[in-house]
Amino acid sequence: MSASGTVHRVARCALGRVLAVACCLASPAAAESARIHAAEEPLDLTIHMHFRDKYTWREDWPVAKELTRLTGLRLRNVASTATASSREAFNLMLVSGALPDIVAGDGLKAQFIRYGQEGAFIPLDALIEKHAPHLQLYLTENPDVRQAIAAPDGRIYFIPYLPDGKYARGWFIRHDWLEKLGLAVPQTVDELYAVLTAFKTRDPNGNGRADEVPFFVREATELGRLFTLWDARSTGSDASHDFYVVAGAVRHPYADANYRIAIRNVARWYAESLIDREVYTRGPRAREVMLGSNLGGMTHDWFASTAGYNAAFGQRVAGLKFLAVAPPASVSGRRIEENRRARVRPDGWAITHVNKHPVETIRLFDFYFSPEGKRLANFGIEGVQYAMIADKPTFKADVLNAKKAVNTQLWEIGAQIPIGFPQDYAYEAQWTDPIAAAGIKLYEQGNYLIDDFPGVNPAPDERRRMDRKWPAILSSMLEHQQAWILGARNVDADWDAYMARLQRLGFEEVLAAMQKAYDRQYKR
Amino acid sequence: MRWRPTIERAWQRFGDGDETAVAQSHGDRIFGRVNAGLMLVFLASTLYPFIYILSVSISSGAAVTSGKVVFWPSEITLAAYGQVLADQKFWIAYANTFFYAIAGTAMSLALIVPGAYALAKARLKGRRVFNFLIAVTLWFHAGLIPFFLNVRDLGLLDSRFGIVVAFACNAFNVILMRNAFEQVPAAYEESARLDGADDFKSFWFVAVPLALPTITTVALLALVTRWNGYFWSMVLLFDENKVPLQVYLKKVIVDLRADDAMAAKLATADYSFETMTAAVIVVSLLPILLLYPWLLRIFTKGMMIGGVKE
Repeated sequence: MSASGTVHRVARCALGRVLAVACCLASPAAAESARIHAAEEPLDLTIHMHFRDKYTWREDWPVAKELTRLTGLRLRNVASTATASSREAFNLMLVSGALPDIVAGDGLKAQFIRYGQEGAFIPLDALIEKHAPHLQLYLTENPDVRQAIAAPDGRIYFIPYLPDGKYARGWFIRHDWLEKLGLAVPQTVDELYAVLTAFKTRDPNGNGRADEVPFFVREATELGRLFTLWDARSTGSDASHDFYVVAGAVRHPYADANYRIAIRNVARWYAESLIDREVYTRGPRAREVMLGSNLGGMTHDWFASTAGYNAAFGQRVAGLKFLAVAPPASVSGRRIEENRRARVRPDGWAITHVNKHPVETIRLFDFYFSPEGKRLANFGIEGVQYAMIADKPTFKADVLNAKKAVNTQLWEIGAQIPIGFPQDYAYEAQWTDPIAAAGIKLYEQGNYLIDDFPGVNPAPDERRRMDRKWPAILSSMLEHQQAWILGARNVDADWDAYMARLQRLGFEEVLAAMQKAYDRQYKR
Repeated sequence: MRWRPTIERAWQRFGDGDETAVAQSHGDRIFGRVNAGLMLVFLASTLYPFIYILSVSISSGAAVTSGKVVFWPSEITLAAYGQVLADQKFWIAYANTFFYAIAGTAMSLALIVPGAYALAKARLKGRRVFNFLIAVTLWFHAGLIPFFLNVRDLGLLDSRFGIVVAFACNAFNVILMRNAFEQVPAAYEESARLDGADDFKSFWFVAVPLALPTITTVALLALVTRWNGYFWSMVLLFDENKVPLQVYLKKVIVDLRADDAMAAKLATADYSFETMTAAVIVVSLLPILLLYPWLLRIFTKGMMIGGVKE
């Protein structure tokens, strides 16, 4: 922000409120500054934003203050700072009837659409067309995003958080163990089997005991990534156990024929102790335990955090080299990485029907799609967190070298929060651990990405059918999955009865509802 | 150490050693031994989690995550306590809990004791209806949303007073207290009245002193409930500066839940998610733990008195 720009703005404010407001309303795109509310005193809007079970919008965030300085809008949080449940905070806000001007948060897509159609949130299409040029442009250029957020009535009720970047998780293996045992990086599922068996039987940690845990995960859902080695799937999106789409047909991975084969093999690996015996109970500290005690050989997890253990445990575990490897080829020779960053998160913000300033609010939403707003949401404040170097926002050294991770620092000032804004992967690339960056590059070169299932926004009758049937079906699926893998039951003996049970619970009906919603939303 | 002979005596009585007792049959002895054995198992199962949490709280984060802490602490450090005690919000929450426990207990007694006294008296008109209405709440609750709306309409949302008053009365304590007052022989009160005492005087100078053990019991129950109070404080309070310790504890646990970017960095710190959580638990337990042993005596006595009916 140059000094002359500021002077210009102040001068324009002095021209008179009427003129300024008229000018802004007439051609928002033409306005040079991000000013939305021209008067000296900022315009207050209330916001209910409770996210990730622990954060709320804070007026004392530096980014919130900067937003007020730039736009003239001040957002006042009305969400409870006492509760440790975002969902509960949202529900109580709704039942209390005291709606704020804006509702924001994570995992609210279904609520925005449902209560939007019932009248709690207003449709944004007309407002976007008239007052939000940047948003309009974005949605025109990204029709898939528009499709993914459209309600069954075809309208838009919320502006989503749009993550950037492709790969989030990948396979990591102990290269120091491979070298010690004279093994090559496994390229196929059979080679992987041989490597894991060697980890178990040839004592790579050298303590004379077969206490190695060849494959471990910290969330049991990550165990499902192994299914891809037999051309099966564990999910279709960045959520667990989700549906997926093959040639326009909605399917569920746990009802596929290949799934049976995958389960059969994973159960065998488990029986041979190639998979952590405590895989379902190990918990979120699995990497600390497995790597810190020099026991774990391989996992599937986030690039950034997993790579960090090399430095964290480098002293304790001599020679630790836990590096990313390409996904081994499946039995049919396909290499895929099932996990990817979602294109559209079910997070974002919406305008309630009691909002007296919908135009200013949609222009606020639009601000976050303008270059200035994108920088604020992604990088923080110019001159404090970042500087413009060669036209690119670049984090300052004290941010990059601080004790806290860069994203933690950004959350603490109110950047990178789940409001409606397009994330810029450049924010992350600048501080990604070199080991993680090498891993991501490996995956990009191999192009292992697959399409994700952006989800459907069901109509009320479809939602009712899914809500009634799906939870019981999914828990039945998961119960069977666990019993099969742990060896308590046999998948081949159970399979027909399993499929029959899914049908009895209404699997076809749910699939039909999903298909109907999918066709309406994506084949329009 | 007085407790050692006591335990030995108890053991002997359960076992075979007590010469003064009536000669025990073989079956009695086995029964006694089995009983004592079961009690020891029970003792261990309640004591172990406590010792475990204590050990975790004073061990290093690395020792805990790598599974070295099973019973005794390992690599002893107070880093977790340092982290917890340095957080200003912890102290605010601690002070809040003291306030809710003390003010809440006082409010409970102020409402329950006179209320139960009235309910115990046959001369109260509509006594049966009142008793019935109170007893109904033992079995039927309005549920989360209606209760929330009720509190909202009373203007008690996000208010300390709301928390103190909304949970001051519970049917179980009222009935306990009422039964205690019913135990007081009518003759005491009649003679007080002959000496010129009015309703208040006969309540305050005759009934209350006689029902003191039960009053202490009710106070203790109220105190412990207040100390552990979590859910409704979380729902009805919006301001983090008003929340009690248990809500803060939940927030700490949620906060510490695998923050992905933090995980590797924390792996090298002296404290960890687990040790900090354990430290908060220990600190929040201390006051009630210190108070409990001597309150327990009155508590047991009070329970006996309240439970017997003529």
